[in-house]
Amino acid sequence: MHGVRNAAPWLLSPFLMIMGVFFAAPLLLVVGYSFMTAHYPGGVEFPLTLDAYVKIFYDTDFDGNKVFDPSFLLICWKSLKLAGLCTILCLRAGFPMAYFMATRPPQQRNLWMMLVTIPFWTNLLIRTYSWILILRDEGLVNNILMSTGITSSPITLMCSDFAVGLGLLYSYLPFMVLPIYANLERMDWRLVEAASDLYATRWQTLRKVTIPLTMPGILAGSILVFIPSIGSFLAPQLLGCGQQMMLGNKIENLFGQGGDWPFGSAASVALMIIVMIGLMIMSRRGGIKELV
Amino acid sequence: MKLKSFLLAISAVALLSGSAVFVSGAARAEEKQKLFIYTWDTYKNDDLFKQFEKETGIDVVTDIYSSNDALIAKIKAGGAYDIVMPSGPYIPLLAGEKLLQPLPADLQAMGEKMATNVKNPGFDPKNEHSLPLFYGTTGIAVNTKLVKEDVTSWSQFFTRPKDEKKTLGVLDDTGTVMDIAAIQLGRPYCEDNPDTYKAIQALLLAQKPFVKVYGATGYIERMAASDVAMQMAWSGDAYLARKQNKDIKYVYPKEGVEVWIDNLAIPSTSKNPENAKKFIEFVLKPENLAQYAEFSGYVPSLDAAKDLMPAEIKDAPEFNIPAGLNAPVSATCAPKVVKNQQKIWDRVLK
Repeated sequence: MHGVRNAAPWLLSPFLMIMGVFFAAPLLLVVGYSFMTAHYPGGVEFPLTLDAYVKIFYDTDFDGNKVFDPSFLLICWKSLKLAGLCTILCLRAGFPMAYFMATRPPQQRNLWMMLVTIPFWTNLLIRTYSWILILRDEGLVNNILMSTGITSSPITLMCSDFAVGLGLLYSYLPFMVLPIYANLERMDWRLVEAASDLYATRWQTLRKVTIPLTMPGILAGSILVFIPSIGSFLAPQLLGCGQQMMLGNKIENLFGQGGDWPFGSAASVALMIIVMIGLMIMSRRGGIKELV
Repeated sequence: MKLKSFLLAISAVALLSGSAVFVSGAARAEEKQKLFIYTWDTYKNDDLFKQFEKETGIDVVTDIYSSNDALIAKIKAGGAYDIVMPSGPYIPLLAGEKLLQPLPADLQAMGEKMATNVKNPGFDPKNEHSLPLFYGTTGIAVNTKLVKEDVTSWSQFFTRPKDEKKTLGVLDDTGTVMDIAAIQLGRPYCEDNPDTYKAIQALLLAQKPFVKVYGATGYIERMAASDVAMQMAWSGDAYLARKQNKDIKYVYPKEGVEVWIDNLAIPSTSKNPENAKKFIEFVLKPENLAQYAEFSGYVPSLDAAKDLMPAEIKDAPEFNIPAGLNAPVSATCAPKVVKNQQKIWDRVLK
C-alpha cells in the first residue's frame, strides 16, 4: 500500500487520457451540441439556445403556434416500459439458466458457457434478420402452425410490441446469464447445504440464501440488459417494422433524415437521464453497495 | 480456466463490435493509383469495377451507404472519397455546402447526351456538379395473388376498405413519401402551405391503420415473400422482386409517379479527381452503362446504353414510363419545407 500511495501522480495520465478521449470528450460534445442551433442539412451552428430542450415538450404546428406535444415523452415512456419488461423477462429466464450451468460438474461448465456465447459469433443484424424469417406470415412458426392444422391462416407475429420484446429478450439474455453465472459459480454452496440442514425448504433456501448472495450478479446483469435495450435500435426497426418507435430510432432519425442534431443531442441527454433514474431505482431496490 | 477467460474475451469483443457504428474512413495508399467509391449497396457492381481496374490499372475500393443523409454526414466529416452517387435533391445541398467539386468541362458537356427524362434536371440544369447515372420511378408493386382488385391509382393505395387487415408496405424515405402524397393530392412537390401540410398529414394518418411495414430495409425480400400485398416501390426494386416472384406487378398509378435520378459526382474531399474523371468516362460508355443498368435494375441515363440491353429487360414495364403520364422529377425542397415534412413523418410514425 505504501508504494502505491507515494506513486507519482503522472502515472495516472494514461488512465485520464483514456477516460478523456473515450468518455468525457464525446459526452461533452453531445451535451454541447444540444445547446446549439440546428444547421440544415445536418450539423450545428451558433448562437446558443435552449430550443432543442423546448422541442422535447412543445411542438410548433403548421400555423406557427406552439402547442404542448407529448409524443416524445410517450416514446420515452414506451422505451422505458419495454426495456423494463425486457430486463424482468431476462432475469426470469436467465437466473434458472445460470443456476443450471453453475450446478453442472466443473468440467461441463465451460461447454455450457460456450453455448451461451455462441450467438455472439454472428453479427446482431444477421441474427435479428433471422427472427424475421421465423416470425413473418410465411415464416417458420406460421408454417408449422398451419401445416399441423392448428391454425388455418397465419397469425401476425411481426410488427408488434411482442416481436420487438422478443427480439430484445433474445439479444440481451446472455448479458444477464453471464454475470449471474459468474456469481453463482463463486458462491459458497456449503451455505445452501447449511440452510437445508437447518430445515429450510428449497424455496426458502433460494429466497433467503441463494438470491441475496447472487444479488451483485443480478444487479450487474440487469444493468447490462436495461441500458442497451432502452436505447435499442435494431429490434424496433426490423421486428417492429418501423411502427414501434423507440428512443434509439428517434435519435437516429433526428441525426439522419431529420437533420436536427441539437434535438438529437438533447434526446440523447434525455436518454442518459432516464438511464440514470433507472439505475437509481434499481440500486435502491438492490443496494448498489453490494456491487462494489 | 484458460478456456473460460478466452470465452469471456470473445464475448467482450462481440459486445464491442456490436457498438462499432463508424466504418473506418478511406485510407490513403502510397504508390498504386486508387479510386475510392462510396455508393449504395445495390450499385456495388464488383464485375464492372474489376473491369475498370483491368483497363486502367487503378485499384478500386468501395464503401457502402444506405441513405443520402449518411453520405452527407460522411463527406462533411472529411471522408476522402473520389466518387459518390447521390440522389438528385441532394446535389444542391451537397454543392451548397461546398462538398462537391465542379465537374471538368468535357464531363459537363456529356450532360447534353442524356435521355430526355434526365436531361438538364432541375437540381443541376447545367450538370455543373453531377451527371445522371440511373433513373427510375416510384410506383406501386402489387402482388396480384393477394390483391383481387385491379389497381390503377394511388387512391387505392391510400384508402382501403375499413375492415381490411394491415397489408401495405410504405417506404420510410421522407422525401419519397412526401412527393407521392403531393401527387395523390394533385399538388406540386415542396409546397410551403399549411393547408398542404395538413392534407398530407391527414392522408398519411388515414392510411396508417392499413400499413404493415414502414421501411426500405429488406423490402425487396418482403415483396418477393408475399409479406405485403401492395408496396410503394422504386421501379428497379420492383423489377428485382418480380424476378423472384411472378405475382408481382409494377403499376404506374394514373395520378402520376415520382421520377428520381441518381447521379455521379466528385466530392471536394477527393484526393484522386483524375481517377474519378476516368471512372465517370468509363461508366458512361454505353456498353458499360448497359451492364451496370442490368445489374441495378434501373434505367440507364443514356438511351444508347438502354438500346444495348436485352429486350426482356429494356421492354419491361419497370423500365418504361407510359407516354403522357404525369411524372415530375423529385426536387430539392427549402429547409423550412423539409422541417415541416419531417414533422409530419414523425407524427405518422410515432
